[in-house]
Amino acid sequence: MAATAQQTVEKTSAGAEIAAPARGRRWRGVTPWLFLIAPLTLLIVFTYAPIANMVAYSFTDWDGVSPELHYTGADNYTEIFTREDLFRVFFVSGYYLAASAVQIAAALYFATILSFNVRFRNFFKGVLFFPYLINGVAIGFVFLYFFQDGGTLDSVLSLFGVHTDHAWLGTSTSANTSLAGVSVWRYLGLNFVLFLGAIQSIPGELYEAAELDGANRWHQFRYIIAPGIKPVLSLTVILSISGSLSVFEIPYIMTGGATGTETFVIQTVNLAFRFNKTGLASAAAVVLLLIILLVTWVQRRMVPDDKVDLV
Amino acid sequence: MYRRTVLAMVTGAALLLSACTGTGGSSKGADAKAPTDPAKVSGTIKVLTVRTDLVQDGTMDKYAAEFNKTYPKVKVEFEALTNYESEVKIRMNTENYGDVLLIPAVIKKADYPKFFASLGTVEERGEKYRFTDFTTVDGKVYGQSPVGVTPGFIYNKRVWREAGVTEWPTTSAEFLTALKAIKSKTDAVPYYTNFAAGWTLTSWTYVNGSVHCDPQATTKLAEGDPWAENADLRVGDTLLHDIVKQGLAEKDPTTTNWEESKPRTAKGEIATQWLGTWAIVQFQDAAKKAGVNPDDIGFMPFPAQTDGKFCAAVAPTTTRPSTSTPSTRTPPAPGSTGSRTSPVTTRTIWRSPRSRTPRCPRCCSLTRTRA
Amino acid sequence: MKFIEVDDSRGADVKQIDNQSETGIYAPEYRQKLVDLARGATKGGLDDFFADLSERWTEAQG
Repeated sequence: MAATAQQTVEKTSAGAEIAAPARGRRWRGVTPWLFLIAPLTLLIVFTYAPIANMVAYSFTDWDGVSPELHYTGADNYTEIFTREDLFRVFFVSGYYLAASAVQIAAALYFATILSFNVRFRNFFKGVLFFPYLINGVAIGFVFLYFFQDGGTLDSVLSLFGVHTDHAWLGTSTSANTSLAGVSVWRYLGLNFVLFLGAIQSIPGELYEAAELDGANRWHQFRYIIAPGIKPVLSLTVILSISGSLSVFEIPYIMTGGATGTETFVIQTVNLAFRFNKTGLASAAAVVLLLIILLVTWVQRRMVPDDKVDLV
Repeated sequence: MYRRTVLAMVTGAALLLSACTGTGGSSKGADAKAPTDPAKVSGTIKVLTVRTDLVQDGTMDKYAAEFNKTYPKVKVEFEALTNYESEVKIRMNTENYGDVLLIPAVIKKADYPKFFASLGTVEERGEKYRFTDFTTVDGKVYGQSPVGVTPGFIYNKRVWREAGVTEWPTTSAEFLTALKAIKSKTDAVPYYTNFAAGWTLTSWTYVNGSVHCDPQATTKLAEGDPWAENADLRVGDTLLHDIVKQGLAEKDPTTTNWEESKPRTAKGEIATQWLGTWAIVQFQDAAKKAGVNPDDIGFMPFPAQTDGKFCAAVAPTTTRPSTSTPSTRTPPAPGSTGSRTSPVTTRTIWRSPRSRTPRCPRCCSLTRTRA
Repeated sequence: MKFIEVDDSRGADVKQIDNQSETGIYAPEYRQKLVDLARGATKGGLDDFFADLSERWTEAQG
């Protein structure tokens, strides 16, 4: 009886052993997809489907509301590439590009300094990152007061005895510079945090070894930190370039694109919602997407993303 | 519409091949006939409106009660939208845009029959109501404007008096002279562009018709050149240009503030702004809040006379601008109402008989406020 | 003081021309440009400004 029972047990367990790996393998195959369902659904519904929609609209003359729309082939694209006034707005991106260079340099500087042992470093980290957490619309309004005639900037300057009487948003150059400045203030924190994270992932022994070899702070930065954060640096550059090409929030809220501050995205929004040329605007958005992809590709070709090996 | 969107999501190519689809349904441009026995009509109608204030303070419920006197079995629901124009624009693509609504400015007139039911022919409507031609497509009327406004200058009477100007200027040149007098004799900013808000500048388009007292001004826009010598828009734009060029506007137009400009005008820090009758009430409110005399807020027409008379074009609020401006700054103000095919006709609520359409600018302004 | 009603039978056409030409007479941009021009923030003359508007408008009337 006992023997039979034993046998049965063995049999069943043997059977289970055969079944288990098959089922387990199947489950192992399915599990990642189960986890992916939620993000993939969100991604497809809210990112790829609208993009597909937009690409479809870019071949039509849809006005945004009318139930009727007509297939117009590549007409919208022809119009975009033959109208130089639509591309002139990219000059404005130059201001933001220059600003992002300043921004990356400043972020790198602060990240390096605050990665060393500095007093109140957590406080300064907070101060630098804080602007990134504020809503862009709020920033727009705050800075509208800031740049007002006799506003915050003017009062602060007059404390130092400088009375400029300068209309900060008054001319195209001044307005774009001011707006780019706001954008530096806003996004500095993000770059800073990215750099800081990368710097802190560099093993501490390296600094000690370097110090023993007589390296100063600059040497440490040049030969340890800079190569160590190269991947993050190149990512930041890509983000800055695509960000500069697609600036929207701050100029839209603050000037609405007046006084030569119109960016490509503001122009696209105006085409779509002001002049009801949704088809043309969709094509413009597709063109912007392609330009950004192209810039990224060129940049990746020029600066290949090598594996960094510090140790 | 919904079907089309889904289709486009699945495959863009399919959309392109079948690029022309309709909203569906047989209700396209149908007539909203008044039922013979109102007491028997039942159901629910939803009304979309910009007037959040009137929904909150219960005024709309009074309208509904009035409506229910004729249609006792119909339930009226109101939905007030703060960001009306942009929200309704999106909703026009669905089936969910209420039964009675203000026609969003974005919808092309020719498309009215696709979205709305007709209220009647232009002949029968025109007898009783004003502004019917603004919503007429192929002889049928698709909407009714509840309010008419005229454009003009809001000005501070006290400041103008202090500057020694007591008569309304009759030409652009006289107007500029008056502003110069204000600049030299008072501390006020003679003219405030409200440049940053943007839509305030758009009001200058409504000089159309007032300059030469021409009821056919819009036809001239369609057929002629609006910026030809002595054309209405050119006259208006030239005046605006000269005001700014001669330093009679605020120092830094790029950082103007619409909300602040109201109390500042009331207090006499700003002398003049080109707006419309709809603004009077708001400026008077601002005056009361600032503790100054609301009677100082004056209103004058465009400085041009035809046959020795000033002229002001009364228009429904339909043409009021500002689609897709940031909602935080300016609530969009679309105009006349349209009705979709619904179990009942919607005339009662939005009726604005000719006799009741206010004739003087001051009365018009009472009917709408702008936040 | 005389009040008139402007005939709007061609209003839809005006809007169509306005959108087609991207002038935006019911939008703020073109007058913001006008004010910028007037206060010297952008270069150019008023006549050229109007001529450009006229050209775009009449072209869209086509």
